[in-house]
Amino acid sequence: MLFPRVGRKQPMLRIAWWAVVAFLCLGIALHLFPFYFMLVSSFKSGEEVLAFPPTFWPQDPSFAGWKLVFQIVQGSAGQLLDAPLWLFFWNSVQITFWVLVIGIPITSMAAYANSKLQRGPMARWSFLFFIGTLMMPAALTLIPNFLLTRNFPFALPNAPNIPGTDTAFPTFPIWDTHWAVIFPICFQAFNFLLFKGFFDTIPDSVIQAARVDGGSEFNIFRRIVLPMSVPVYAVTIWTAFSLAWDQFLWPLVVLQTPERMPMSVELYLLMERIVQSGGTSAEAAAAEAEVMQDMLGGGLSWNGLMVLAILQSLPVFIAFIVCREYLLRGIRLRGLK
Amino acid sequence: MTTEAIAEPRYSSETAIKVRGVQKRFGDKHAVEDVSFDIADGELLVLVGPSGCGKTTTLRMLAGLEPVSDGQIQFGDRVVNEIRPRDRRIAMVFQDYAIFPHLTVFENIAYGLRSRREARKVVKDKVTEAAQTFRIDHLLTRKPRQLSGGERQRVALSRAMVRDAALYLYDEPLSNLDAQLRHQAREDILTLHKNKHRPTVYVTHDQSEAMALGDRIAVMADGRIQQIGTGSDLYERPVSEFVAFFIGTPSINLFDMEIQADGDGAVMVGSGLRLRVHPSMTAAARAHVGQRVRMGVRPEDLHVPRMAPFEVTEENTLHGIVTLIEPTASGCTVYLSTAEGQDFVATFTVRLPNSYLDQEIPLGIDLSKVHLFDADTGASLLKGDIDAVSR
Amino acid sequence: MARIDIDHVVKHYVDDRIVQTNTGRPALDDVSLQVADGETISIVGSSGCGKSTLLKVVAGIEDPDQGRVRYDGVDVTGVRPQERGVGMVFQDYALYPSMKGKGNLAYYFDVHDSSKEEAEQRVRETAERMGVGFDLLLGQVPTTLSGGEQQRVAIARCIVRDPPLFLMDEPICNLDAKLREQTRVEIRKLLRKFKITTLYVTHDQQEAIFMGDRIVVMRDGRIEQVGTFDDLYYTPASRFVATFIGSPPISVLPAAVTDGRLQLAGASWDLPSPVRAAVPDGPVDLAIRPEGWRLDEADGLAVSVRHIERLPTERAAFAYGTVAGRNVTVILPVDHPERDQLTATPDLDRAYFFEPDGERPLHTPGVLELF
Repeated sequence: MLFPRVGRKQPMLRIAWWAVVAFLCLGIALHLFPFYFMLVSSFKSGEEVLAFPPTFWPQDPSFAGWKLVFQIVQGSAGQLLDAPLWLFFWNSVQITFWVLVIGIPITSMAAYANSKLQRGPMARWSFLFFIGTLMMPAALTLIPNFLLTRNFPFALPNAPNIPGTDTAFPTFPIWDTHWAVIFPICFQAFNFLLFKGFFDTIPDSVIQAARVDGGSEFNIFRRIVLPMSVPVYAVTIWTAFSLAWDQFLWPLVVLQTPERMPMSVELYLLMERIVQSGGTSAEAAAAEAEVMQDMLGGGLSWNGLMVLAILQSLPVFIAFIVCREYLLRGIRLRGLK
Repeated sequence: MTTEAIAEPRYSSETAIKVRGVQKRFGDKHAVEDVSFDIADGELLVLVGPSGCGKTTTLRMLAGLEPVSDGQIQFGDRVVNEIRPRDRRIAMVFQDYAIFPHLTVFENIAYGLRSRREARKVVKDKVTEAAQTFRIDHLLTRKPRQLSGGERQRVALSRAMVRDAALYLYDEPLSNLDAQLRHQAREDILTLHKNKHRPTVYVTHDQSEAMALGDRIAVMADGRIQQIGTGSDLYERPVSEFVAFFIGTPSINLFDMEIQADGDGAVMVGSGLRLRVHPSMTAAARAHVGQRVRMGVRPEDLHVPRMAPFEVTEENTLHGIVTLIEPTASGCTVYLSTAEGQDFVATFTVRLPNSYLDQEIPLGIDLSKVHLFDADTGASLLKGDIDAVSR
Repeated sequence: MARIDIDHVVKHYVDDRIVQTNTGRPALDDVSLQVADGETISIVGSSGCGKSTLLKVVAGIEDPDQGRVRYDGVDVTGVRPQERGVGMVFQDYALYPSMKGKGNLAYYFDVHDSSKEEAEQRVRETAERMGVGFDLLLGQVPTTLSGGEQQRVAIARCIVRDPPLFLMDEPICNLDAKLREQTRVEIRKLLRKFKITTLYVTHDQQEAIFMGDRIVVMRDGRIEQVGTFDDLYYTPASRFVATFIGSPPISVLPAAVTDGRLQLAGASWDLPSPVRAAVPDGPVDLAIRPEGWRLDEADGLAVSVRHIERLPTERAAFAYGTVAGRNVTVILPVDHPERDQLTATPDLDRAYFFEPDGERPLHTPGVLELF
């Protein structure tokens, strides 16, 4: 432990100890406050949310925000959604599911191979290559990635011609499909780093013992390494889950069909429509203005958005609870030096 | 900030270190139960015991790395229970040497002095002198990873050397060294100890290391000190079966026996043997007639009949089948087992040819040197004159 | 059961760094060794001498750059360790932490398409052979076992499948001194019982002497000498072997020979005739073991004593002192009085002679005739 274990009764150390405790509490409070405010705001009335100075406890608790979101989901508050909400939820579930099912095995096996199977400069170079992708800002890869989804496997505006002919190479456009959202985030360099760091701590002798025992490389990975690595899987699954669930910009770019949007994008669009009155056509604007009147009358503005935000972050929170359980269980299982 | 050195605490050093009824609990588990001892100025006390006996925890409490659950630790006449390590004026050498990998050898050695803001000149002189003592003065600009294990160990010793500590602590400093380097390292530790002439506590699990280094040795087991004494005290007059077994390699051989009266004398019967109790022990043995006892015979006290320094008769002979012969520089160690299947060991000063493997040979027991222990408690029966476990 | 031939094996390690910092020295440099069926060979050397690498090459975990490894005359170089069927015990036991003791033993059968019943039976048999109390270890996860218990499970994991070859890499060096002493006897007895060909790697010479029918001394990737304890102790092939074997180590003193007399630190003695024949006139390095000194004789050397180490358990004391600026160790009776000066004469019948500053021995005493 960083703090000396002996001599805590000395006055200077006591003061230092309480200072440390105070800083920790402050840190926790700063972290938790946005969540608290989100939760509290969802129970405020429309006027109170916008009141200044802000209130930290609803003066006049109301379920107006929750009610309205419920109506929107049911479709009784006008056509604000392009499709029933459960469809977008299902889209998100599908995308996240495939990201985990494809991404985690690929990432972990790549890290295992890099940590235990590759040797010498090869191992170092490939490690640097993977980690190098972390240095690349997402904005830089946005356009090439987009082109790639249009003309897979070419990151070009148009597929090149087959040499000597006029016909272009066949391409497999995955643009405007879920796969365009899934593939780019399957391999996550940060998770690779986590896996690699963990596998490096597994003694080589355990793997060599299994080899001498006759286990094939894949069997060793599945039977020996995997059960030892539960905690790191818990961590990476959670990070991959929240990344896939919350991703926003990329699906907005590659998905066109409204019915294919994930929850995160759809909620954003919904918020936008709620907040902005007016639309593309006069008729729609009139209709929406009418709806807005209704909603504001019912108390929906920011409080409704808070409800939606809670709905969006709930699955991530649940995933965290589940992974946390395995994290602790795995630590108990391992611990073998 | 002043440039003066921060004064280290002074302790009166009449009895340098006193440990009184010290306990350590982790949750409801007792790691150390009631340990008490004194260390005189300039004395080297070795704590020795099997792993998990509490010896390292005791050392860490002395260092202040671990709070004391109960009892008192005194440096001189000052109770130090609540004083943190940096204010205790101790120097410690760790098993893995605990060398800072990012600092040069010079900076590693100087660290203790620098953190007490010694003058630059003093630091340089002290570090150079210590490095010369331990033959690493040519390595001062190197980084630790360029050093061999033995050199790292000497850096750790130099780091203790530059300090003026009230207590020097060693936590198994030799266990990571190759056998060939250990003799030299032991000597280096003694050099340091003689140079400082301060109370020193040395922890090890190796009894031969304890024997070689300790002015006194404390044998620990299950969080308690079993016996404190000089090497020959522990070897010749162990208070219990555990101490007898722990001290000496190969270990003492133990046989289950029963004491019976036989005329004026006494005999021990059991394990297929009938042995006459040596006259010097008859009185003690007759007090336990009819009791089950454990007889301890050191491997050195088993002799080839023709070379025994005493007359070998039926009443002091043990027969055994040779199972292994280990050559040593001074002769050999022979592993045998009796007809009843009990294993025992004998060491000879001559070489037993391999042709004796799986043969039965007779061995004379030097009955004047056997030990008798209570079969239930393990306490020594014979040595009424041993002081109870020294406190 | 198998005979092992290691034939001119060379092994270089690839440096892990991107920029090649080629140290040049191979981990194994032209190593050849024949191991007879059922024989136990200990391989001893200081850390980094290549002893573990040799073991890995024999196991197939590492491929040699050059040279061949044969089991019973069959070339297995390049055969994967999975197909060799050897048993290996590691320094850190390398138990599978997620499996109980039993799972550790049964893993071999899992990956070899054996029936459940066969695995069960073999595990049961092995548990019986491993002795009392072993059953209890089978039901436990490795983390809850002590070092000694983990090591027993690791050995059982190898025995369970009757390997033709047993490879042990410092299997007991993580144990307590006392436990180590008991365990090595146990291992030796098991090896004698099963008569499995064994390579046993250790850095502890006493352990090597105890475990091996023959002992291999390695240094810097090369084999220095192969032989029994007596060969290594009394007729070392090099100065390195002489200083490596024996504890406390042998003392080396620079001396000179003129007209068949040995001159050392102002004193001189007649050389015995076998020595005189082997050692030419001129400078020579005299090496004496602690027991190779005679005390308190008129023509002795003055040894200034630094300290005396008393070992009642070994019924001896060792005096560490200096002669002519060189460190020497002299064995004394355990009750020898404390003194700053000793008079000791080198027993030239038991002395070793090396060419000055060279490795080559000029004369070694050979095994002493005791009878």
